[in-house]
Amino acid sequence: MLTPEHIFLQQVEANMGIIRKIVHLYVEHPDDRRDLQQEILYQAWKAFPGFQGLSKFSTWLYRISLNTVLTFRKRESRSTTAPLEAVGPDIAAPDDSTSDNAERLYHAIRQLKETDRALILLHFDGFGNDEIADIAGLSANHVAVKLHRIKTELTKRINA
Amino acid sequence: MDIQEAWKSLNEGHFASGETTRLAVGDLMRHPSESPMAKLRRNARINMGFAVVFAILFVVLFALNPHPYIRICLGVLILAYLAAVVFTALKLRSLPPLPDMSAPLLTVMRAYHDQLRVWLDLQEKVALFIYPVSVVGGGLLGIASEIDLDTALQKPAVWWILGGAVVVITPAAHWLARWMGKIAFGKYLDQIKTNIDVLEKSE
Repeated sequence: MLTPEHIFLQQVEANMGIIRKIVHLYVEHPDDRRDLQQEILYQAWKAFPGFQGLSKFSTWLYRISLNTVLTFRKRESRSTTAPLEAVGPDIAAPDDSTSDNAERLYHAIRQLKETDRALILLHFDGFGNDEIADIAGLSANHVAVKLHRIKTELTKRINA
Repeated sequence: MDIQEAWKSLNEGHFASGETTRLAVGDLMRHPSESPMAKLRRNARINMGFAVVFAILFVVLFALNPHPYIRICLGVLILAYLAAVVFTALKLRSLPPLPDMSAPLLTVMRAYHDQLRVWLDLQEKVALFIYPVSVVGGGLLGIASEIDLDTALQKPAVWWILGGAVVVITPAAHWLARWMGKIAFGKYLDQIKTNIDVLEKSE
């Protein structure tokens, strides 16, 4: 029989991409990324007894990860200049337009405000306005208005 | 440019790859939480421990020193330190637990912001009465170690110096506690406040 610890680890390993994605979109320095990933996993394990399966594990993990990242205290002493391979996606093939677009999108998202990044990330990952509103603690109308504005800003940044 | 296509490419490329991590809950627990609130609570307990140790030391000095003025000062110091411990402990107990990290983003950020503000206010208040009392108590003990306290206290200059020290130290201690709080948590508080404001702002 699987223990809660095993279930937690299996679920986290299956959804590790969520944590990796959020960590990359919010912190730059490799040490900060390690710390933040560790903190998200710690917070998730602490909150896991309260997970009743009312939502999908991935949705629950998004909530934990975003809350952790938004209340995480970034270390100011660390240089903001990270090694090149750690700054952006490892996809920059100059002749590959899809990769180039992905890289431009990545950098445009990184320039958004922290909470805007959270909303657009959820939107791109297929969450509806009602679900995003539930995760953020806002009304669905409020989310719709904000998403419209964020998408406009994102397009401007990509085309800049 | 098709944004959804670019996002898909990001997901399938960089975000999907990375080192395969074999996780273990034991490893997670070995690392203390980086959460500022967890650190503040931990620091509060450490400070309470130090205050109790100092109060015990003062009790020993109280028993060893028969001079009434020194005993009054030590008595005040003991009471002040114990009051600070009780005050902090009561505050620790009265604070509502932080919301679960699976709660809505706005709820969690507001709770972190408000509790941090409460802690910083508490530290400023404690500094307001601990430091002046410590200055007078420490000053009298210092005088007593050098010259006869009764003789020293007959000189008005000694009272003026002690009084002046309290008048200067009290606002200085309050300002220092506020400044230290700002240095340690100012940017973090601003960061959370900005996030709350941006999220709440409807455009």
